[in-house]
Amino acid sequence: MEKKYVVTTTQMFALLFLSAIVVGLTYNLPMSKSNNLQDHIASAFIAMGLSFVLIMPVYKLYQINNAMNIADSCMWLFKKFGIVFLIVYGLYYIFASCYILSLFNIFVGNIMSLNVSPFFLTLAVVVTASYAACKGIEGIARGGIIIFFIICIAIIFIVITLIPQVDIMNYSPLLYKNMDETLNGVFYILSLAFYIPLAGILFPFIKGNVKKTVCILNFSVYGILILAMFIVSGALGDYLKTQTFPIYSATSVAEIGVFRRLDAVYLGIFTMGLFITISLFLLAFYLVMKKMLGEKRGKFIVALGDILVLLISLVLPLFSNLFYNMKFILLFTILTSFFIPIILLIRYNILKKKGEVK
Amino acid sequence: MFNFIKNYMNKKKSVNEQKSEDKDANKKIPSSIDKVLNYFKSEFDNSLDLTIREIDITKTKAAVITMEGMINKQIFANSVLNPIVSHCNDDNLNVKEKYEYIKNSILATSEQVEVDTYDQAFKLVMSGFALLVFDGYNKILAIGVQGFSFRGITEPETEIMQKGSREGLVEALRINVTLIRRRIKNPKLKFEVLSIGKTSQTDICLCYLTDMVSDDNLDELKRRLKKVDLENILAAEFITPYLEENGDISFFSTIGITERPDTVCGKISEGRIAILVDGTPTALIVPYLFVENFQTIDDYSSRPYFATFTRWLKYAAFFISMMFPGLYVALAGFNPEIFPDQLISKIYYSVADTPFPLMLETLLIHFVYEIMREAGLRLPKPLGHAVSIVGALVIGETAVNSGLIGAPTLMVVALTAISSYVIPNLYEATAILRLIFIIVGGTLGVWGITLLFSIILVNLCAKNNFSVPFMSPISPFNLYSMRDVLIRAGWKTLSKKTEKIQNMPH
Repeated sequence: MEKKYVVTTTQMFALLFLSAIVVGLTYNLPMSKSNNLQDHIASAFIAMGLSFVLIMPVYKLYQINNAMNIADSCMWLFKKFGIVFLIVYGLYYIFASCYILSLFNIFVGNIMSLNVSPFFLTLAVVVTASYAACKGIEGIARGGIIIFFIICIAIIFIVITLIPQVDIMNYSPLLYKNMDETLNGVFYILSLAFYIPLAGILFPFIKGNVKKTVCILNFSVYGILILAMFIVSGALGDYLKTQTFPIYSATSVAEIGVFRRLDAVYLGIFTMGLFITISLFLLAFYLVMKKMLGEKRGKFIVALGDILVLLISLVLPLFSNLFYNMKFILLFTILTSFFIPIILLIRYNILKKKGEVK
Repeated sequence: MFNFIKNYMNKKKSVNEQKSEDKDANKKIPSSIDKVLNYFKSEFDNSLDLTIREIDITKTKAAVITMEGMINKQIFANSVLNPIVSHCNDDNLNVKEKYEYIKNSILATSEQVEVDTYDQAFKLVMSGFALLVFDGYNKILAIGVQGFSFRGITEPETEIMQKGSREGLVEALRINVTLIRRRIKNPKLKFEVLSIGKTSQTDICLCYLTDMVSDDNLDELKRRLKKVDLENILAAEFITPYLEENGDISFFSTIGITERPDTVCGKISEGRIAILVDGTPTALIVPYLFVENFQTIDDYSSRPYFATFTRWLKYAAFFISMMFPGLYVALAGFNPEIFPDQLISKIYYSVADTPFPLMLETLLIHFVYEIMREAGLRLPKPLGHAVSIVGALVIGETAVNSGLIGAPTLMVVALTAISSYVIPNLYEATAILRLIFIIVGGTLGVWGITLLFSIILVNLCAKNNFSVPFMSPISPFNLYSMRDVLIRAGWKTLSKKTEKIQNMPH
């Protein structure tokens, strides 16, 4: 299999960072069974270390054959039985898209309470993301880096406007109560590490030093999360405990000059990042399904992915007990980012010892 | 019965052979002058502009065929007709020798082409050549006496420059070639003529520097031009869809268009290929980058700091002309809290006092504006002023005073309209996208605006033309190229390294 170098390390970093940031923007305290965001700063530090462990098998698989994505590896090492893993990955990418989209719906419908139909909004996101996915990784990556740049400026802008709102009295000593909230935080943050299974499918497109990219990515993603938690905790204080989406709440109190309530900036970041993230997951779904169903069914796969994401994201809130359950998401994420790649590595070593693979 | 079929088949075969012979005969010039002249007359169906002057050259029948209005009559008389009639008087020469003698010793024109097929002869005579036909010789001498009238070289109206050359391309291909050659006096500058259009047989000329152009790009361009299956090419823009990538659905064109010979020279000196189309005062340029829409030749005549400033103005104007009305509708309709108190009250009262929803109101004003613009384009200039007055005073002010439209909305549309003229190359794209942004902003708010912006971004970024990414050097990023994108560096910096278009990051 020939390697297709189409994306630079910077572009790949931007794409994975954006997908991680979007998940971070939906950071939801009730889902983490906690109401102390400050304790999650420690959680983020621990999660950062663990994320290096989680991403290791995916990276090792890439090192073994840098032209193969995780779907290719599944079929290569397990032949037709690899389809089982492909189904798991396909479901995971669809689930990740639906999870983020459904939170977006909740955000639009319940938090913003605007006269915009969540269905039409979801439809618009799915259609646009699907278009981007059809354009391929090259188009998404090139567009993604510009969006990444815009989002970075917006984040810096929001941070600067929030700093004057920070009150030192809002901070309490870390781990003041007990470790439970911190541990819940670790599990919650790791459950949202959607970018690791995504990296498994996107790594073969990279041109450049993947190891360095992964390190910078992990530090950046958790670094920005820690910074956001620190500033949001200081700016909102106890008010935070009643908020579903703390980062959004913080932007709504930010102001600069004559402009108040910068939540429109947050909306912009959220939507642009959402667009890139959903398009990446749809592309990942397409690549996995293509491996399973063949290249000829490309259009069918894209349409299938769109319909599944659209429908599931709308009905997902009805099954909130299952799908918004942190344990379920954590299990699914760790399965796809760690356990399946580990199984593939073990299989590879067995076959290598037998001399069946190089 | 069998004989009947056999005879029928033989008859049919002989008819086909006759047809095929006729076809060949049509192509090759016969030695009989009568056949040649009759063929010309029948093909042109005695057209008004076909001129045949039969002459006698020392007892040999000859004729000169020209097209009325395509030749310079003075040159024709002094350099062709007079020398032949007065100097060719050697009776001892046979036809071929006479032909050679006239060709080499009599004629005073530099451009002479020997043709032996009708196709070539037709093409040349319709390009302003005089055809000299001899009885008993199966070759025609085409003599270059072109001299058709054409519009004078004037300043292009769509690319007016404050400093520098006032010359613009004209409709005549040869004049355009001269305009370019005068600016690049380098033997590496090559003009390659091709002919496209089944009926019109339009001459198109590829201009490039042989040491700068990418061979791959040149081959690809020729391959795409070969695919042009149009009957008539009446303007350069006719062939642009054939030069774009297959399946390239976008509001933005990947083909550059200019009316300035100096711009053409600047572009081809970076490895691009200019395509001149006979009859069109514009040149197409490939490969073309999105950022080039914001670069004008004036930038390079101004001081770098001012050129940088104007470049940023153009970027701002692009976003304003495309997104501002949509963003205004989205924010005023869904997120008014972002506006300062005084502004929000003004917008609120303006919206409350007008009968239409904000989205509809903005769309209506845009439609009215586009109607006035279109009318202004077609009207004679003196009437154009009247339209401006009607537009500005009657429709604008009166509509606000009567409460039909709000003053803030009118201001937004006016600012947008002015901004759209800052980048004339992108007018078409921004005009349509503006309307889409208004509709999306009015129905899906800021989410819709950001989604539409993102999709446009991916669409632009996914575009390639001649293997060069359209959004290069922004994405894929090239820091060195930013000296002529984010800023306009001074000439000393710009001239340090000439960047070839094919070397843009992929």
